[in-house]
Amino acid sequence: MRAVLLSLLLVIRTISVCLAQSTGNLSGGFESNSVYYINDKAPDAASPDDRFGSNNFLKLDYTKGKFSAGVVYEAYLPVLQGLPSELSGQKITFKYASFQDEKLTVTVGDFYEQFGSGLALRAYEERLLGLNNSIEGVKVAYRLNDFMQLKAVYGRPRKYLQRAESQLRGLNYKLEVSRLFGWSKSAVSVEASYVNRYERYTGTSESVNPNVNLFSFQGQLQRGAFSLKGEYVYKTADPAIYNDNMQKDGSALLLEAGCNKDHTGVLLTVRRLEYMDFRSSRSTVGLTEVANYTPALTRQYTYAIANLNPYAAQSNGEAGGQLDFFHFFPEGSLAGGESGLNFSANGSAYYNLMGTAETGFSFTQTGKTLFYRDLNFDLNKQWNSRLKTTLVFSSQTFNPESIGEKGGSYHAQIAVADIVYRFNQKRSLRIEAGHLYKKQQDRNWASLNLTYELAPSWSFFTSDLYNYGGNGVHYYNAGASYSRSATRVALQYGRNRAGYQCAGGVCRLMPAYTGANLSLTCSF
Amino acid sequence: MKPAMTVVFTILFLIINFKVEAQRVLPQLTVNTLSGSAVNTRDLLKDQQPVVISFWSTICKPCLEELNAIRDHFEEWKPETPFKLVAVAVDDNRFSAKVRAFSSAGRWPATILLDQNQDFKRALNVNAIPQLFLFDQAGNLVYTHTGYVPGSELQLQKALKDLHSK
Repeated sequence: MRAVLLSLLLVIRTISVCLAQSTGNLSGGFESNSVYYINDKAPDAASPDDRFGSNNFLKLDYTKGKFSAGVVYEAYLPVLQGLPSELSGQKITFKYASFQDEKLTVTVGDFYEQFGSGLALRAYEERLLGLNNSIEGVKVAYRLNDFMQLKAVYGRPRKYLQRAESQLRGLNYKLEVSRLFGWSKSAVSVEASYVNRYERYTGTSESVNPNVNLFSFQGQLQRGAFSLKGEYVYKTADPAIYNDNMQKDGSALLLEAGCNKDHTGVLLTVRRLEYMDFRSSRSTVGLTEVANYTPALTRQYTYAIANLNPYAAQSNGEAGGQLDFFHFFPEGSLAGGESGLNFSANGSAYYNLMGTAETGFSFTQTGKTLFYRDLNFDLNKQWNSRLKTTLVFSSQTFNPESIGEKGGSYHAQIAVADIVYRFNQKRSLRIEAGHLYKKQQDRNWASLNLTYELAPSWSFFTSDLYNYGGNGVHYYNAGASYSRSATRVALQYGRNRAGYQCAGGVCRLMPAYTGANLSLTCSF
Repeated sequence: MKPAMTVVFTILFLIINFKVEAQRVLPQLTVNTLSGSAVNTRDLLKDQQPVVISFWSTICKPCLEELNAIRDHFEEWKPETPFKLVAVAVDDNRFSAKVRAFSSAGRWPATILLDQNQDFKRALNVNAIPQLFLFDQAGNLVYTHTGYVPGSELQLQKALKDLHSK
């Protein structure tokens, strides 16, 4: 491995010296997350035989005029706990060459892509979860004129550090209707997509079709303060491990309606999913081999105590929605006072589908099993140039059935106070205090986080998440970070609880661990 | 601990090697406006003004704080150091519908763009958000900073002043 690294670094050095004397542009990024695990019995934290885990990513791009090319090198030395063990070793996992002008884009090699809202196809990367389903093949995008675009993709999706034994093909057509007719007051567009996955079948069942097809139709309208968006996806039967080998067609419906006027915004989102789990291979159970994107459409909190039981969408059967409301009470108003007040509220609820697989599911009615509900609001107030406060309240109901566990639903009431005080232009202190009240499961939690920040580079924090009434464990952490230009280094030490780690609405169960974590990101 | 040494060696090599030799320009690619229309990123330079690009997300608290801080100083800085502010939301479909409401509630004096496929973010090698870029009128990168702590915006003001005094 050392030889590979040294060779790679020599190549980088040679390229960079050459580029210093010629045209073209070399850029890149580096990300490293390393953990040294400590034996700690209290939170059931298991430390691996090799106490060290390290995920590393090096990305290099070269651009000259309309041409670009690049690689991504990944090294798991070894992979961090909780991520798939198949991510072991090191490899150049992403390489591409691309041509782009104002009308045509052609990419050969690896690429990411999303059609519409991603319900039919989404190839993307989420390093925190060890998720990367980039496609290796060809992508062509052609802008026929000012209002029409056509995209085509063909290739094999990534499976850990290898490629899946399937092919994905897709076509996407987008028409900007308002540009076509010269409408200036409205923006209207429609989009249609087709996606096919072919995976050879060598079993004995005659009912398994090696082809799975998805058809997607999307429309979007914006006029003045109002916006409306909808997408419908139809998916042919895809009997696979991830849907208990059901020989059933799938469908998805997504509707969004919003209005923003003056200081107020309202947004309603409704979604129904039926057998929409779609992965790169019939035999996969892993999260990392998804081929489309059906995230939980709920609020994701920035406070750990409010995210202890996040919802994971039920791609094979779920119906529900969420409503968001935002309002700014301006300066001088009764509620706004001298510097205004931000108020936001959100509510979401998701149920099972009404019906059974045998008799079919209702399209218009939900079932009676509640998977998740959250009602919450925020008050955000800048009192003066020094003091800012945020108050958050959330009432959550979580059904463990949604993550495959038994037991009744939990009901949690959560409150968080977030205070930022600026001593002067460079120094500030942030205090976050939270409490979660719950009668069931692991009962009550309390949290405290103190962060001292020294602009523009330094940040120091210490925090504790205490499960009182449950296992009585303190999940303490302390650390510091330093940022300069596009480089950021962070070091922290502490105890981390087992639980779902979510990024972009996709969640993975991560084990508890205690240890020191060093992370570095830089771009150049 | 051999792997750790390899990682440290690699990091040091990259930082030393590239801080002096690499350069960046505003890449050319297509992103969407809030109404769904396609925009070429090089068109952001059409106003012949320096462009400040902030990559943000509706679930990133420091990102929102940074944009609020720039908003609070915008009118004060503008006469001496005029610039165009562009806020690029990297939210995927889960949160992209909220971008319009967030940006409206934030009252940011910015052009809002959606980078749902994260092509723009990858092209500028953004590993963590918020990350802020300042490009001159020709599209050359003159300043960048990752992360936000209260007061960081003053570094941007200094970079703008340096750029305008050239």
